[in-house]
Amino acid sequence: MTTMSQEPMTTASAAAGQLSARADDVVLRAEHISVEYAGAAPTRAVRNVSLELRRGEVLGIAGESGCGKSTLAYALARLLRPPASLAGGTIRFYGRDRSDPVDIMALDAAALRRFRWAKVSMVFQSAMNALNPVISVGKQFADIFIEHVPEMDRAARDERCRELLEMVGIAPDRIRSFPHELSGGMRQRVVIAMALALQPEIVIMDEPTTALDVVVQQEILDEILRLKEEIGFSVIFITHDLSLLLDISDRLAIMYAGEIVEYGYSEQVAARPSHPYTYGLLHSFPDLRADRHELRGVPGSPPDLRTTIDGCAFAPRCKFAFDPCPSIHPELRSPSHAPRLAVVPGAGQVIGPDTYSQGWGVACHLHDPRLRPAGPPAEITQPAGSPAPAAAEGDDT
Amino acid sequence: MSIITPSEALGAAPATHPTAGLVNRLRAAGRRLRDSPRMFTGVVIIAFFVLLAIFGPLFVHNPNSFVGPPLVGPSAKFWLGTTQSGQNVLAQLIVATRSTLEVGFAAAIIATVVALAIGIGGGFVGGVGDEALNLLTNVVLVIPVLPLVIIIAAYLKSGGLTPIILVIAVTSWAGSARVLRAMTLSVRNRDYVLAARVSGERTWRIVIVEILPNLSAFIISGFIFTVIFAILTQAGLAFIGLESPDTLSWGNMLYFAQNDEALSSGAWWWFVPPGLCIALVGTGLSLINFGLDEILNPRLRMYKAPRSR
Amino acid sequence: MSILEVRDLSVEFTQRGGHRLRAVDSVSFDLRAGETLALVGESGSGKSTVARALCRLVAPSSGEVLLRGAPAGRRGQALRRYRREVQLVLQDPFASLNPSFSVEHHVRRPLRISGHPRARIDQRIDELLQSVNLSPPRVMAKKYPHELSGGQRQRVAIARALAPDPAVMLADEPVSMLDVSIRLEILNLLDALKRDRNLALLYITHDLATARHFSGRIMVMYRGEIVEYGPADEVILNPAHPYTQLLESAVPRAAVTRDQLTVARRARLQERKTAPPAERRELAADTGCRFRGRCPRAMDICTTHPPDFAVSAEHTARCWLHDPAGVAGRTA
Repeated sequence: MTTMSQEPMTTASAAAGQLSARADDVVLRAEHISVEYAGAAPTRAVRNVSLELRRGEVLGIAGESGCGKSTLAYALARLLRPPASLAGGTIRFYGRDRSDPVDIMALDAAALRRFRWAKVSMVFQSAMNALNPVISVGKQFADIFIEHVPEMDRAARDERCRELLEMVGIAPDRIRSFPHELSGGMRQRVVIAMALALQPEIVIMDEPTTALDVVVQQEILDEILRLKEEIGFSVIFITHDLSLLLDISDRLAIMYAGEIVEYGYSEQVAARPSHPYTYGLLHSFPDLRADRHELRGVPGSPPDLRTTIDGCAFAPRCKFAFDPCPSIHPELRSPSHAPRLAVVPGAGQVIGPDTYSQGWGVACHLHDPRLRPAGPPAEITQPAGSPAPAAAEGDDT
Repeated sequence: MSIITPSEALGAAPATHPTAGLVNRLRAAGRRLRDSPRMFTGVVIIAFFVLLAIFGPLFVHNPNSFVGPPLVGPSAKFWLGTTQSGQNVLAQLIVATRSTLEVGFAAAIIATVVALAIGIGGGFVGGVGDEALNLLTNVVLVIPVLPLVIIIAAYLKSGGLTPIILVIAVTSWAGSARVLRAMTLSVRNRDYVLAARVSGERTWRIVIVEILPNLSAFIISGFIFTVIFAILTQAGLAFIGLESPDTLSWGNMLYFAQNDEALSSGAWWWFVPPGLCIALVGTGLSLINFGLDEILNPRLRMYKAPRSR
Repeated sequence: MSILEVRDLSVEFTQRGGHRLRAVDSVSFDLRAGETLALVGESGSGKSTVARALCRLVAPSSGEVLLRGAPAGRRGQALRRYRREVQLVLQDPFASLNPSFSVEHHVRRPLRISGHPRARIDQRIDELLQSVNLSPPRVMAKKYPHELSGGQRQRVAIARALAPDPAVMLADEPVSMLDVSIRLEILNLLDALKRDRNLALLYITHDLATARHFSGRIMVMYRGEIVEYGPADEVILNPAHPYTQLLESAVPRAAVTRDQLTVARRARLQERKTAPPAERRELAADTGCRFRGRCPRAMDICTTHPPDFAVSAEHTARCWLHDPAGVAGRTA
């Protein structure tokens, strides 16, 4: 089942067929983002997160409650509301038209209104929250056009709205329906169509399929990917369901306690997880078709984000924690099993090891050759679907 | 759309149910009393009047006796002057406090109990009983209160405070009952109520232990509101002469003052004090209500505390 | 040994306008001591309604429920006795505990109601909290729900359900609202408790994978009916009903390359082009097989409601495709 030497399955496989994002074609770059919630004890929900989104790719962000992924999404879309505020970092948007990068936080109100939805749009967690229950579907679309494309006349708006509904698989005559007249799956499609109305370059999706059944979920995700290929936008997909991300994302990042603890190409992360938390998460999803075996999750709970955390935030829950972990904060670095010179999928280029563009990083001392020359324990890099090793004592989670 | 809140960011459960640990919160409320100027002011005002109502009449003798020259302004002997018949206005004011507050609180208590019984009872029982009680509530709600109150009061003009108390109670329970029913319907289907049923908990216990605490914030503020309403209604009834003339209340003082043309003769010391007292009590109670809101509803506090999921 | 038998249970709701909705339609199964039966279905399938009917939170319109061979109590003393034996764990850990009361109160009440002697209640509370891994018990007992994490709250809910020492435990999506990394902890706990106390456990979920791993038998529900019923491994690895097959294929597969995923995706998109639009597929058929509108293998005979057919010894499916008589000659 497990092969110790995983050649980058990257070259042949991904190069064939699917649209692969070029490492140098970035559409959004966020650097050193920190978000704080004001209060008697301020909470640092996002801590020094940097990431980049490449044109045409699906970047997944996985994590559980309290990891800060939704907060990060809102920060990127500049939707944070008090008491949350951006405590640091820059977010730059690189448009299709190759104009100068746009500093999203520096936009003034008018420019921000133009920017929003036309360049970056969002699909929220619950469609019912995003759709106004007393306005018909058609009118909600119309509102978008009236705001952003005022020169469109009524007939043109209607026409475009029908096109959009058809594009997501809804009968055009539903333009007059109200949200409660549609099923959950339909509503989510409407919300997606609304997010695509102005053909944005980036769509941020925050748990868009959580409330849906697995069959409908698969349909909707297929649609999203098809539309992505047709229209050509990039997706930031946020969810707690790691198995889902492995399915649809090209690259992904795992968040824990407000930080990114691992990121990389989905195939690589699935095949050889680097961070103990990633490993734990992967093993929290029993394989439907594999033989039965003992299943363990990740005992314990996330830390209190009101406190400053010394060392690694995951250390208290980590089976493999050793001396430096509680006191020294691990920085992102290449995993020890990453090839020194990586071949980036699809791009056919060979690049150096110490840039984000290399595409694989982990924040864990186990991969620091200075602290642990032997490298991480072998069991940590088992792929998903293999039996979990014997577990430590469970405690109250 | 809810942005991830600090409590969600902490990975812990949202801590914002208004009655979380009710007893603990009330204790903390005592401490916070000093922090909320509104509540503190309100409590001080009401405490003053309550003490006045309880202990005042002990120091005042026979407010209705004719003790001085008629319609004389405030002086060293009579701090608030005298009435047309030479009665001591201050003495009357103090004694009137008791009956006014009695009517206010008694009517509110009765109205609240009735509202609880009908609102929560109907909401929890459901079915035909609920439909019937709901219909009753809506009918009572729609009947114009003032004409009804006037008619009943005129009819029952026999002595004492009781008729007035009953009249006000009977006409003011319906608004609260409606809201309590709606709240009960919503709480009734919450998971912890279902869990209590599955545990075999008896119905009456479920209503009192599981449902009532969730409604407590509304019940308390509704009660206070009803006291204000009762006092004002009583004053109104008295002013148009529908209260028994034997009763000494602020409203009645206003009635007599108006009757004896205190206004036109400029005898402000007769009608301003009772009116002012009514206004002060109303204000004090409202301030308490606002303060309670702040304490029991963390959302209104200064630093935008966590929202519940 | 069957502790709870359910025969032809139906639950009907009357909606506004007199329309009658059959949320549960003639469902039959049994729960055995020391075994887990998984009830799998999507939202709207009626699976939660089944649990509520078994707890008598909702009155069944027809059918019977037999506890140890005797009909379930309907009211008064008989209902209380029944309730002691059949307990429920609900889905939402944030809603199933009353925020005004401590953990201790939640566990104490069922003990008092089931007549536990006062003198030993504190000890019993500690035992229960210990058995769900909430320790130290005296400290945890004093806590309020808002001080606990989702996983801890769910453990309290389980302790509460265990208090009257029931024979049957109904778990309605006990982990779907919990963080992924702690779901397995809770499911393992339920499994251990089931073994230790010889409980008959009904595990209701929409997650096929955990249903397979934690149960001996699986029932699949679709729009109020049980469409497939059998041993867990068989139902998952060899699904007989097209709906089960659809569910099974929608679960993400592990250890697949991106190319395989892309190919599979393209195939599905192609298939959907020729299928009727999503909406029409979702409308329930009134007569005949309810899955007809979405079934890729629907046949003419499917306009007649199918009975249960045996696929193997203990495995049944409600689908004409498994009619031993006359499959040949019936084409899609």
